[in-house]
Amino acid sequence: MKFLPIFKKEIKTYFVSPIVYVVALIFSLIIGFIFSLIVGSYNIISMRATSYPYGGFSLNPTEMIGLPTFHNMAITILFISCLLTMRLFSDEKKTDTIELLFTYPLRDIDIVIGKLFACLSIFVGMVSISVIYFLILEKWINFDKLVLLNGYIGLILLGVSFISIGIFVSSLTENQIVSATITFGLALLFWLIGWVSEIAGPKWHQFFTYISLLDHYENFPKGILDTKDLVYYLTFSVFFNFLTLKILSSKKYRG
Amino acid sequence: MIEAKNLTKYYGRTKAIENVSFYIEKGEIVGLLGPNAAGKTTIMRILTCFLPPSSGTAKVNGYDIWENPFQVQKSIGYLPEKNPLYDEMTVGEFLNFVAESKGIRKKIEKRKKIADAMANCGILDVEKKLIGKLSKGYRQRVGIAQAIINDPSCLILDEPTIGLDPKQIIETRKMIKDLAGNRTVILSTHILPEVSMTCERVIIINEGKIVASDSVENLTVGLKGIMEINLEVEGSPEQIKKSLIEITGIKEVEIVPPIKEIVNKYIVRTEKGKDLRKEISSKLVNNGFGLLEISTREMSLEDIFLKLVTKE
Repeated sequence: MKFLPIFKKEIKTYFVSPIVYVVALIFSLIIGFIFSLIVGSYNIISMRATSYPYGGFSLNPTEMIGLPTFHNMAITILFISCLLTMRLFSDEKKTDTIELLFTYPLRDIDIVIGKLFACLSIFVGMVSISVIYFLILEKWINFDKLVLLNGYIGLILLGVSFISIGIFVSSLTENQIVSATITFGLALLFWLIGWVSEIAGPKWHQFFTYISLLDHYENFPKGILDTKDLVYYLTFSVFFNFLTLKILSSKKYRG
Repeated sequence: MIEAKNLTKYYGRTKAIENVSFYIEKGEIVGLLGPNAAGKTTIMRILTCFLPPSSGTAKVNGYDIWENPFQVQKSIGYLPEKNPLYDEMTVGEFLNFVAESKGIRKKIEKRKKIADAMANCGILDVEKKLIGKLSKGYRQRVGIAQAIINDPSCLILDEPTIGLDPKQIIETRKMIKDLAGNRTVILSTHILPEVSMTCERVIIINEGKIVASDSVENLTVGLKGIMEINLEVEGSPEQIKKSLIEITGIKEVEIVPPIKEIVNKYIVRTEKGKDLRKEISSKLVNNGFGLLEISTREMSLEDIFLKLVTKE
């Protein structure tokens, strides 16, 4: 539990700066807007469906509202995770406070885990705002709650991956803007790399599909929990956190 | 107790320090003196396990920096040169974070140690203030407070008085002396009076190498080499010079310009360690010259420092 002091410090710092409030506000506005559009169009579709006998039975609200909402949330968290992670190491390096951390009896891994968990907690808090939207509709619509829960599990796994990229990039630069931009680029690259599989030969097709963040996410909002996807996201995050540790212990970083 | 053995550090191809070895006894206050970019900060960063040396090793309180970096870090307090602090935290929050990071977890113990550190550094009145809003003097105190919070047996202070006004400098020096107690203290500086005021021993480094390591007194005596005696004598300069040179042990007699007809000032340099004031005065008086003034010239730490770090 040696990461706790770092964890607490980071959480405190998040709430001191306006970033968390602004990002949370923008996130809930965007998702709220998209959610109401999706519900609106579901409304029209269900009205039309009722004009046919038994038409309403074929409607699945969990799929018709949940699925597009989760896809839009995935894109949105790609943006916000850049903003949440950009200062984690950049700022410490810029203000030289990293020298304090490195001379306290803390292991590098405590520092990284403390920062990762702090960022993740803020992220989960932010994403859980969207639960309210589903709860409001709960009065009229019967959602399949396990499917929604599975969607959130996927969203959080995706978030951990983005945050791991962000922390890694943040350890590379002292500039927060550069950090956010590169994180965004890298995350988007891993998001869209699945598209390459369509033009790649049969040999590489599977490879590109497998490393794409998007392709592994698609199962979650549909209610499928596949160990293949779980293993993928966990490996992805561990890999980037491992790179961060390597950067931190490199001589150049400290010199 | 700090022991450094053949520490060498390269930054890329440039050599920062070379074969630095020293031993600091428990409870000693040692000044690391050297011009800017001499390698003081590098040595301190190696001792705090922030930077690994390219070769060589060091022991702090008996723990090796390679084998037991945690034990080393637990037993030291370090004030970095730039005194980095988290501006967005209050002093209390920051010290709480530092205490927890240094492994002080029990609530009562933690509270006591934070209160002690704040009292020792005189920052009790700014506990609730944001660090970013503090004056430079207070920031420095907070920096020292974070160093001593775990009650370390060894304090490493990198230029603790840099950027402070004269009053704050005096206060900080006094604080360091008070805090020292039976702790081992190593502080770096390029301000000479600081060393003679606070330290018992000086290690002078230049261009990455140790050029001298001794107590302040020994340095002033030992490095004097040639003793200098100031004279003011009445009489013909030529004759005085001639009679002075005759005394065995005198190497050089210099007349301080401008040379006047009757009363002149002289600087006499003797061989190493020889005090010839008695011989000089009796000789001058016996030869009928009027001896008006005779004194030895103490070589200050400043002279020694300049002598050591400038190539002649």
